[in-house]
Amino acid sequence: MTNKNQLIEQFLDGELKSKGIQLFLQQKEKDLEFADEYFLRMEINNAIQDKEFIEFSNILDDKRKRFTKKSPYLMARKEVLKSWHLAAASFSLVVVAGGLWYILSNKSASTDKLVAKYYKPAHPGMQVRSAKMNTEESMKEAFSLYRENKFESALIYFNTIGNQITAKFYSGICYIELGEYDKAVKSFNYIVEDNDNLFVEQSEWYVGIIHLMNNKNDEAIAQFKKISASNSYYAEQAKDILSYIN
Amino acid sequence: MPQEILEGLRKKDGKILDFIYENHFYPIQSFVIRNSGTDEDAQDVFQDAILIIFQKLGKEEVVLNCSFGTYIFSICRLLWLKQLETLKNRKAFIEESGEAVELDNSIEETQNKNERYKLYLEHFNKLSYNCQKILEMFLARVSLREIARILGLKSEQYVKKRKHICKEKLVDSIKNDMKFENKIGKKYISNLKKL
Repeated sequence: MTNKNQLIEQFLDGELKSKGIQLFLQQKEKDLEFADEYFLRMEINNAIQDKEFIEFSNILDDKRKRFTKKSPYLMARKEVLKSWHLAAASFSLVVVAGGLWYILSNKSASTDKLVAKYYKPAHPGMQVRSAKMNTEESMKEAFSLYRENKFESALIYFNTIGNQITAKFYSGICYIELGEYDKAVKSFNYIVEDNDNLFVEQSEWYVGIIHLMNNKNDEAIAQFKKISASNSYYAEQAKDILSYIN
Repeated sequence: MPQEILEGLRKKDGKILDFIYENHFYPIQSFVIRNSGTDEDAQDVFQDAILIIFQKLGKEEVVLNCSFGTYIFSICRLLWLKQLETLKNRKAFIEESGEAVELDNSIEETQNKNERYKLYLEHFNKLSYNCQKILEMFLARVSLREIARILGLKSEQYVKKRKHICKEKLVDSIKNDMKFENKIGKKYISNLKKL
């Protein structure tokens, strides 16, 4: 860092005494480049602290994702059956990313708190309407319930579909939502072992997240090490988590 | 009705946001696409417009003399015009559609600032977890001792050193971005001085 930049940072951090402030103001007055640098650094600080901007931008990003073609809302209008897995993926990623953020920001937070924050009770007593319902209908019904956060009911439909990979994957997400972590791991492991589908990387990632939720740190570390050493889409994020929990 | 939408927007009401997307996006999508834009451009402009209205509501009372649809269309139209100008593609703007109202200068100023904030935050989010947390806590005036304790760092001096490293890394990263040089660059620096 140059002396000029150091002076700017000291001013922004409130570390300068009156003589230093005077020196800073004189420099800012006579040196345009210095003044530019100061305004840039000050505005960067302001952006980092603007939680309202960040929070609302995130809300809008989420709304946009849901609204675009891959989203549940637009999907419901158009080709529901063709893109259901992508829609639910975007939703579940938000849920799990939220959970991860919560864990990392509140290291001492208990699983109970996490579940309390993210678990929304499903309506009980939902029954599959017809044993003869075909896979397509079951999937449509399952995702309709899934989007309404009725995970327990959605699970009934997903489970009627058996070992179909997409259904298996989202049954895993439902189990996370219901706090049934062992069953969730079982669903995701099935997908990982199959190893010939589009959900392998996500499933490996979720298994790591579940270990964190379950306070199984050793298993979480092992899982994230495996992911970080691979070419997975989540490799960088796994490294970040490792740097925190290791 | 327009005031109800504004009130919902101010409260970040999810249902109102859904309503805005469901009812007001398509005219803007149609306008942008007819004027040399893409669906992605329309989504960008629409999202930027909602953000600007939200920020305006946080600063002042907004009373509309037109429908909410006309208001958001006018903002999107302005933003898209500005975008075309930036791309030196003003001639591409050929087709007017939809009713528009006159807007105050604050819309464009807010948009310029938002573009800069997005750029800064894009690079901030690329920093390591520890770097982000150090900068956030430092700017929130959390004591060096507390930062060291929370992040498990060895000393207050080390936190300070890391803070400087992280900030320099962030500033360099922003300055090396083509968007900083091309889109924002020198022109925006002179604007910043007016703040």
